[in-house]
Amino acid sequence: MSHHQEGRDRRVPALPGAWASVLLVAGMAMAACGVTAQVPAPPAPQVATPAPSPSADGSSSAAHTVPAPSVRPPQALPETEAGQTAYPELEASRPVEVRLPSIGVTSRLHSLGLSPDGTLQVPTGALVDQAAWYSGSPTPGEPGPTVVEGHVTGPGGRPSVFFALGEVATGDRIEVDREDGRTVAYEVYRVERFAKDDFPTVAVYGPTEGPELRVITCGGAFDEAVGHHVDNVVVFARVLSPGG
Amino acid sequence: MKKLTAALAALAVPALLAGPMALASSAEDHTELMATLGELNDSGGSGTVWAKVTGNEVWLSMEVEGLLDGAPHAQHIHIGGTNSCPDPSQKGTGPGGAIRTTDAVDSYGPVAVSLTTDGGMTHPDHALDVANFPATGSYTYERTFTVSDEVAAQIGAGDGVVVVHGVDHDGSGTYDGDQMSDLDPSLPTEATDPALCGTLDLAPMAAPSGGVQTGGASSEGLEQPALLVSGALLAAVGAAGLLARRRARD
Repeated sequence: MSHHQEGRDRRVPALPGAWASVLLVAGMAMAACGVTAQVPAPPAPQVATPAPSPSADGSSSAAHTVPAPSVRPPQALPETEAGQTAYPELEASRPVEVRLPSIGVTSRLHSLGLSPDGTLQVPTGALVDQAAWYSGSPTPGEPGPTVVEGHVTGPGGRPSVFFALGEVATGDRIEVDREDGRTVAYEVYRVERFAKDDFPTVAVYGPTEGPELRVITCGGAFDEAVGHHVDNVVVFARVLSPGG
Repeated sequence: MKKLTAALAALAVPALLAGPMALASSAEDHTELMATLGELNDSGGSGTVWAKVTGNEVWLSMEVEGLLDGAPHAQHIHIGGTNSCPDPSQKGTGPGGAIRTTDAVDSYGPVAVSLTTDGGMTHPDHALDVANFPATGSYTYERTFTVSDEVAAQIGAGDGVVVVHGVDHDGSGTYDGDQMSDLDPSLPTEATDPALCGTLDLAPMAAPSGGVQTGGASSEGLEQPALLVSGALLAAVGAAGLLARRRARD
């Protein structure tokens, strides 16, 4: 399913046949990612830079209370004799809020499922700027990766909830509140940008050793022909503690 | 109307390619499995596998990188033994202690499915159908095939192990060497020694297909659900048409 035919500027939709199907597929996925020239490009993750460096636009937030990864040992996790971490695992309880203090983001969470074409539904309407939890994924603290997604830009191209997701760095803390009142804390161990046509399904959605979190949006080049960003930014995080 | 039909068919194709359950309203009636392929015999390769089992039908998608280029890579689902991969440091009977396929049979058991390309048969009897396996160092593989009730149940229970074969131990750029294969004496052992192995474990969720379209929304939400519904209807109509055509051909 190539969306990149010739890259011509095709804004007038007088296009039958294959172009119509491209537009309809885009519509099915609700993939209308409008970005206007007034909005600067969203920050890109620091791909393949092992040593953390200051973010490009110097957005050091006062809420950034997370020290460098090397000085931050995982908290509250008992070590087994084999040196492996025994992850605390919780019963299911729906996530209701996500916080990424390093980029100053706090968002309520609503639940979304899969579209008929098998892709993940995305926030729309009154909830377009709210992050969402993929209801097919484990709840926070259950084994496996809890999946949270949000838009990078909203209607008219203004920044949406995860506009700054690419600024999240290894070692940053993320917290998710559950419906039962518990808070699960995570530490980021990987931030990467993937082309949507080369999305690493198993790495993002596959089995993990303990409870993990994935925060997904898109960034990178904006494809005028298909009307959305061609890359997804994915933040990978591991559970720190189940909280109380 | 012809153009509209073409558009409908084009819509339906990605839906069908997305997997056997893409058109189902729920994900409850299939089992998803995933494997991360680790290297054996210092093959330098890596890979992932994503599979869905629906009744007797298995859809399997695989991405492999870093193996010997220009040489066939036999690949199978093994079932048996301890349903696991051998320790990569295990000493085998191959060149320099390399693990040969039969050295690790206690770990992964015999071949249950031959992951041949289109045109090849998937029965274990075709485990070395060299002409019908991927023959590049990095490749993507996707196929839907039918298995027995027993094999479907075993794969669905997480008992399957995916093994990819073909290792250039001596770095000569081709399968050669004095030692012959423990599986087929007409082939060098390099051609059949295991290069990658991964257990097909139950997936923690019904994985969404492809990336996420969360770039942003260009308009308010009202028209999008309508577009979604009409899009889904069109896809269903198109898919029904395609299926009817396929049935008519068969």
